[in-house]
Amino acid sequence: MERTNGIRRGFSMARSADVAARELHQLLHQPAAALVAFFCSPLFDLDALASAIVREFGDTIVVGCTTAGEITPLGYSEGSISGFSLSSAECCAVARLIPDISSLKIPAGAAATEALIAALAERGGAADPSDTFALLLIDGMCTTEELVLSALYRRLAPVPLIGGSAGDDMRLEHTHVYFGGRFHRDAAILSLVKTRRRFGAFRLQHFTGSDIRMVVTGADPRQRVVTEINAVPAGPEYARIVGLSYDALTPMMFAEHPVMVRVGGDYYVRSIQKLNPDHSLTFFCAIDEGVVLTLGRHENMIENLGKFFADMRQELGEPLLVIGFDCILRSLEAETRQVKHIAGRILAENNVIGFSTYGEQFAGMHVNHTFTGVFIGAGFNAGD
Amino acid sequence: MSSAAGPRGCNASDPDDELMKLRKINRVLMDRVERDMDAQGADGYSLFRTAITLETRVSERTAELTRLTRQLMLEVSQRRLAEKALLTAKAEAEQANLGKTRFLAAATHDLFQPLNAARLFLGALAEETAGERARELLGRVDAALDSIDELLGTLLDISRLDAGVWPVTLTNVAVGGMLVRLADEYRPQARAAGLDLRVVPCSANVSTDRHLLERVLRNLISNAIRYTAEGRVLIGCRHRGERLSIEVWDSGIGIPEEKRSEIFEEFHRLGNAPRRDGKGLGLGLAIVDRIARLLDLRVELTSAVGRGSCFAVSAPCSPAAETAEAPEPAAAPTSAIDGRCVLVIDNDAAALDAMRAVLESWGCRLVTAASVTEGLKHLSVLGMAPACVMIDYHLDGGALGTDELAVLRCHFGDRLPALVVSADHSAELRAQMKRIGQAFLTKPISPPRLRAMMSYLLGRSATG
Repeated sequence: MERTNGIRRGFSMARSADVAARELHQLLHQPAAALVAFFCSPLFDLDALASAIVREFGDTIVVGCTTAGEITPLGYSEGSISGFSLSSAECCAVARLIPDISSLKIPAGAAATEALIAALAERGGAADPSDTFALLLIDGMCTTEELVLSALYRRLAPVPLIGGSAGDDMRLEHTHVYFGGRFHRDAAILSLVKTRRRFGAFRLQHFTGSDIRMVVTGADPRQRVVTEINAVPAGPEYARIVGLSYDALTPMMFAEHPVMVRVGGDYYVRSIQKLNPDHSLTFFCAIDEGVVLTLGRHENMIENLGKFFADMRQELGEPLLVIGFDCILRSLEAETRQVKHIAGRILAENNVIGFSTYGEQFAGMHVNHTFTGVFIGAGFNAGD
Repeated sequence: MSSAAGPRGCNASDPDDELMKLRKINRVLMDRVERDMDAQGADGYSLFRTAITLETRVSERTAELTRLTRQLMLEVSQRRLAEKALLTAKAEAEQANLGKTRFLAAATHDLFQPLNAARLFLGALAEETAGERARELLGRVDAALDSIDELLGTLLDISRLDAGVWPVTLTNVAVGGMLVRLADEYRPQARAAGLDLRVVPCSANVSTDRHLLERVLRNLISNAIRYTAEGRVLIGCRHRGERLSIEVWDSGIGIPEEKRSEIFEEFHRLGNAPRRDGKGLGLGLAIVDRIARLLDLRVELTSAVGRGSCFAVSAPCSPAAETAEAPEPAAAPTSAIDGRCVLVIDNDAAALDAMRAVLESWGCRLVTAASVTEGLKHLSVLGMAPACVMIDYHLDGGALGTDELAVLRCHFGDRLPALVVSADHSAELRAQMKRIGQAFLTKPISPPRLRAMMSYLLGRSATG
């Protein structure tokens, strides 16, 4: 592993929380770490893992969350813990827990952002969009990402924000974020990282719109549930449109046949989380009645990913670290198409550390079925 | 296609059912459109849409800013190149000008020698010659030699002014007395030309070099007499803010607008000028222009063709002189600089070289250094104390000339005359220097200005 910079990447496959935390610490440890982030399988005993993390990393700022699969230095992985650390020579970082996000009020969110910006200023740094990015980890089952983002990003724009919704291996029960020595539900962790390196925030998707459209005629926006499409029950209508039997509706198929909305001239995937017993469909993101959904059309995912990294390398050089939030539906799709090992290798080759998410955040947007993150190059900012 | 559990049991071919569905689709779409038209609420989907709109706007603005920044940087770099080219051209021009000045000085000096010899031979020839006609011819040769003599003298003056070796002594000058004296001197010439020459009495004082101001006024008065066919020449003063404007009015031929800058060039005369005495060489105003630049006088010209002109020269007013029409300054003006030790501190080696060339040509003994520490070391080695310091404002390591000066004054006393120089032309720096009463010149430094400033500083330290 490269030792000439203050960025460390590491992971552990150990089942025991103690061993995993120790192995991760061995790889991420550096004398003056400014920020440590980890992404862990929900299979860990989370209380034990929290204690072990505190024991290993001490006072260092550590943020983390549970996943639907980890992205490690070896590519995609499951049942593991993956992470990175940034030294204080690399960056200045602050982080903050935002609790009770299911009932977060806009002023409270804005105040939290302001407190964080003030904390960064206290450490001698302005939240300047040219050298600072925000990292959000959020409970993936909160169903309020749009609201939280709206509250948080208001005072942050135009500082780039990237983030991911925590996962739980598609059990869709409880997801957790970690901060301050323990795991939390109904919470988000916002970090600000002011770095000397050149970086680029990105959002990548490999779908375009088709000419097959449908209208949401019944929905419960609060629960992100669509009850009716085209004035008939949602599940069967979706199955009919994509040409599948109703019984075949599984997450794999949702990944294979995404629906999108068109806003401001661009298409955004609205990922389906699950089919409910009442034939309705639950989504990973906000949905409402009257929304026109367009069936997405695939582009080659591997080509798309390869070209993306080639372009980024052209612009920012060799990546020291890519913090990546990769939608769970992407890895499901890659698995279906039997290219997951190729995608994993590309991620590993580009030093990606991250996880399979229940949703990705980019600027003030909560999106689905994307690969979103920040690419940190080896070069330094012009002013440095 | 759908399983038994699938509630889509409706018959697709039933037209009533189909119509009902279409009606519902239509209604939710209309509702949606209306909700979109309303102020966007806090529901998740609206917030998502708002976020996209915001993000699009931010990226557009960022792209625009990036484009503008690139363009700006390109323009800045182009401007830098242009500036560099200009500086090079300027340096070349200055070099060429200096060359011309040197050549002129040398050539003039060399021409004086055979001219003097010719006069001597002419005198000897006059002794030997008896014939009336021959004496008359000899008289003309003598007059021609006088003209050459005067021409060469003027050229020499110009070259001295250009080289900055003209001695300048700033004093309080009572203008009234000088004007009366000059008028008395030129009145016979004016009378011979049929002109009325008058002076309006004036009690003001100006701060300038007496001899050079007099030289300017002589040129203006003799020009006025020379280019005026009839009428009068009037000399008077008026206050203009903190300056006194000394004005010479004539009722002469006037100067057309397009000729007004040309007349200050060497050997330039108005084509239709009545050359009364045939002596005009077209050098008078060129000298006026150079002296004005040297002393920071302002020369203004107002004129109406056929009705006359007014040349006004203005100098800063000064409080009444203790010695109104002071006698000649006791010390010869050159001695203020000649032979004095000057310490020059500048972190630009090229600037030091240039200063060395100029100051040594004035007879100064020079100690140069990039920093005060280095300067002190040189001085102690040489066992010298500076009579005057010239220091750059911005030195290496962020040191400021004014701070470094304080260090020097610890060694050589608080009254050590000092001149701060800088390439910083900002009004702030100038104002700051003025506030602390520090003599200050901006780069590039013209030798005449430097000469004037150093004479003043050294003169002041000698008397005060």
